[in-house]
Amino acid sequence: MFGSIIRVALSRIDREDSENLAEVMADAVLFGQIVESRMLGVTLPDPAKFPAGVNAALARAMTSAELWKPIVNSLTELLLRDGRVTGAQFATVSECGNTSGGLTTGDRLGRHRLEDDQLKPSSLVARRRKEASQLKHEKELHHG
Amino acid sequence: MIEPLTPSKLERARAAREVATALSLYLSGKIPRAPYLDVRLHHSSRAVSD
Repeated sequence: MFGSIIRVALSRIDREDSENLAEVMADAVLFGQIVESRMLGVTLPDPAKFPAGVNAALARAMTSAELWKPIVNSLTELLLRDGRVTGAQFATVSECGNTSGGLTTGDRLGRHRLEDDQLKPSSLVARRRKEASQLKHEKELHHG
Repeated sequence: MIEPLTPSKLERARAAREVATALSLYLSGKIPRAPYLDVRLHHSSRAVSD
């Protein structure tokens, strides 16, 4: 029933920026598999028993699975509860929810940081409306 | 003691895999916009990018 994200992502991927594409796709697939395996309680293999390239990718996926566990859980809860996760919700949770090292992912990406109450979907809609209203007001002032 | 696998646990794990794969691709910057995930249509999963 699941499994279409890879196909759709491949069709929407930025082909102008195809550098490291194979590595990115391999990392994404491996990360997803590690997350699923962990959730099912499957014993994960020891990365040290694999050749260097596989070892590095596997270790990276395992570390990422631990680091991103709260975000994956939040998005999964949202997906199973509502049956969908919008792009705005996905961006908000993924960019603001991981505060490892005292910084959110959004901070590390140089994006504006949201407060906790702004992470709620209803607050997000209200914030977008407020921004649109301010923009409209500024345009009116500019033209007036 | 290992917990038994149930349909809901399998569904949750598969949803988590879908989310994790999308998250990895999104954070890589290879997908221009955040993905839209939907599991409601036709009792099957649809995952598309906005």
